[in-house]
Amino acid sequence: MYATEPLRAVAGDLVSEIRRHRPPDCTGTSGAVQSWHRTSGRFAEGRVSDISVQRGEGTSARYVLRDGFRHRSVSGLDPYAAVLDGEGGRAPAGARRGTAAGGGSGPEWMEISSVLSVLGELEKSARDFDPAVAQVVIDFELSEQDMVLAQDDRIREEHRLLSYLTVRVIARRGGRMSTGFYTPGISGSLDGIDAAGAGAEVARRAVIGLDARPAPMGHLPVVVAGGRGMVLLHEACCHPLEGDEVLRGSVYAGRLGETIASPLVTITDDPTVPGAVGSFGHDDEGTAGTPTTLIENGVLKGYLTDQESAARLGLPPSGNGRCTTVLHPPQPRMTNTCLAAGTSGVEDIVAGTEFGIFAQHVGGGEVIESTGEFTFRVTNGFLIENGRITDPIEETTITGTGTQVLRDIDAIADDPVVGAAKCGKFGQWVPVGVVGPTLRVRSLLVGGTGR
Amino acid sequence: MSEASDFLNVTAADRGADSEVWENAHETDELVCRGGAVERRVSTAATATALTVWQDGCEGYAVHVPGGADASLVDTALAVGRALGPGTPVPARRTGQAEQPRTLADPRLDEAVAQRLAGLTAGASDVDVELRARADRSGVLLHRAGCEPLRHTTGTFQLQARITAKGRRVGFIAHQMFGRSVDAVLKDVEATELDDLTALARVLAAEPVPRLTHDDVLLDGRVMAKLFMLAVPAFQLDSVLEGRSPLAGRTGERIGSAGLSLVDDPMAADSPLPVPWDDEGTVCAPTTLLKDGVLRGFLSSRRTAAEAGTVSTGSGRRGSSGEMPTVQPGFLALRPAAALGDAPLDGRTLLKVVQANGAHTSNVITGDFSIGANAVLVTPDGVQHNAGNITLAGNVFDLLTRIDGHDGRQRLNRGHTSFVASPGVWATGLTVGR
Repeated sequence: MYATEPLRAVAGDLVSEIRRHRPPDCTGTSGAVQSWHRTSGRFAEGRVSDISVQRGEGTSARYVLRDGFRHRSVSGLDPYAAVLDGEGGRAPAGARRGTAAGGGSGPEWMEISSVLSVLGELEKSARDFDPAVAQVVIDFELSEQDMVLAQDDRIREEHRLLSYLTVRVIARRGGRMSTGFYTPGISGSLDGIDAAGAGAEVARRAVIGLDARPAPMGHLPVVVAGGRGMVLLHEACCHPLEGDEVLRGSVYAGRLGETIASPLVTITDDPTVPGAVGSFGHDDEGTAGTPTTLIENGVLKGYLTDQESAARLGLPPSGNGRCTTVLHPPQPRMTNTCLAAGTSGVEDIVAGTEFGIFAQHVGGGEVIESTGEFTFRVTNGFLIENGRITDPIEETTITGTGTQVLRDIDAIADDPVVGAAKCGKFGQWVPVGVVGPTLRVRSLLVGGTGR
Repeated sequence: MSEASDFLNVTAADRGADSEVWENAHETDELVCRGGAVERRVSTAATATALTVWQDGCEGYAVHVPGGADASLVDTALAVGRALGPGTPVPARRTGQAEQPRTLADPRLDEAVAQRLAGLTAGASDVDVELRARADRSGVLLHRAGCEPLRHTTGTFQLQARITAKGRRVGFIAHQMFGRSVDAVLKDVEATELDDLTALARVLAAEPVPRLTHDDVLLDGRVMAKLFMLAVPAFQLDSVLEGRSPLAGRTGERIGSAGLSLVDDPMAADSPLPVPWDDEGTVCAPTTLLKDGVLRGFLSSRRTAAEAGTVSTGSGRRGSSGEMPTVQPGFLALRPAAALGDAPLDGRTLLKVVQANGAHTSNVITGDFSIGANAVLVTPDGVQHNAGNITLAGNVFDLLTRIDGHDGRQRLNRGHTSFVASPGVWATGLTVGR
């Protein structure tokens, strides 16, 4: 990267300023100095329809108080981010431009022509898969960032890469239209994504959908494939385990040590999974990233905390303070949600299901943390009839309550897969890994239009 | 700000390129209040500079945060243009005098607002009230080389209420309000919204009715605004040009219920984020997309309009960090004709869908949706019962043709600088599951 020394120098000054301006009731502090290169845009119909090549710098300071926090951030490299409004005898930071880190050229791996080559390869692979493929649209986000993180007086350095693609393929045959959806992503450079494989895979999903029949509606067993399918657990279980939601009284507040799930279920949040999009060395407050056991054999073992929620819950920080950039305050967030593999075979799980849904590919979801009510989108699904996977079904949403789902997981397979997703919370989006095997939930409400 | 834009335009000209500079000085204040106290205070001040260059038929684009007079931004943008290759015409320069700089909104969260918000969260013992307030202010400059710079200052206030009621079960409702004035939004909250939301959360905390039967369906405005977001891309010219809009080639056809109108007007009196011109300098004026259910046109940016041989509707909007303009609405309001109120019709039972979960995950290309939702059942005597957690499935384009009327209560949904508004709608043809 290009500017580590300027970042280090500003971080040193930032720590001094934070020390000087620390409010009297402050129980902890964190600060961050960040620089980034980011290339993002859309590739559609063989060309770039929009692209932004961005270089940025930001500085932030956060003071954790007994009952909350104060956070201030500014663009540029400016240690006066630590000065809260009306203090310090000078205009608050941000009233003028902060210093830029200098250096305009981005990382070599983000060079535009090589990026276009990869995206073109992905599109070609999708189009070559089947003549029914009518369109390929790829939203791309590539970034490389350096951070110097200060937690009280300790300084940590962090270097991260991200390549994340959102690929949509439209297939048409006769009067029917179907879409395929896939989000390959890694915490590494773009050449780590198998572009040709991704193109064929998303095209396959779209083409299969052309033969889909309406999804059923009602309470049914649901077999969820591994990888991105773990969005189910991300929504149903893990958002309500985030420290700020626990403080608000989520469905799992005050229940550490209780059995809340089937004994088959062991879930960890693990920022050390190699290559997964939620991986890092330190979180955005400088806490070391280590695995956190959330549920072990069905028993609730831990919460996901940042510095503030940990202090208020009386727990050590779990290293889950994350933000989109330092221009936003850290919040307790998931990193990579990992379900431990079971011992069943996928074939056995399907064979043991008389009538239900096989959710092969999953989109996004949403949860209400205080009630545990959640939804997640099945973008490619199939019926299971008499123990066999049969017809594809149209996209549908599956809903339930997290507490019930955790108890109703009655089979976990031995085929873990690493998937990538993005998670939004109060306007901040971060990449999250979803890692796990195929599982079955005894009963969920499937929101189709068929009977 | 103009010193930097002058420098960048001159530097681009020195390298033989035409150029345009967009600068934004953005401030955000945020407060989170709960239990009668201010828990979190966040303030952000950020500047950004985006540069578009045109050279030899190529268009390049680069952004820097915090920006400023940095020649490397010109070199980066030129390199991006060369890598993308030729094919983008240089847009015409604006003619005429630039308007005087205008301040259209200036919302701020001062200590008095903080205490007022905190006071609103000190509610009854069975209810937890969390209020998340956010005030955004932007000073924008757009400076095309050879033209006078355009300037305006605008902003918006956003208040999210998250109400949790504890009864036999837990009931939760979240609602977002927007406006140019902090005081106006807070007056609404104090007068009616908070009481209404608290009452609704209490209904949702009751045991659900054992059996769900209903005669009519009313989608609350906050549900309809979210669902309608799925249809918005179809009304954008980029989707039409790239073949993704199911509305392409249907101008003049009836695609919505009789009386249904759809107008984008960022300068409307009730627009929460007024802007006199879009992020490419095109003047914002009302754009009618639907009139009496008939499709009248599409939203466009400078580039998409040129490609289609028309003129921009002033809908080129940049992302939160100055990303390249794409077609987005400013304040897009759906307005059904018939006012039917929000009470059950005589002798009938009404299912009011009050909260949508997972609407954003539905299919923006086909318009098919299947969402989780919370609903209340209003029996003919006017009593509200918890209908429980339901699923709601259909297609948003079909839904536009099946709107019978509205409840008169407009709700908004936000996507950065884009807002979509809809009242609650009475609709048919939806599949409800529980």
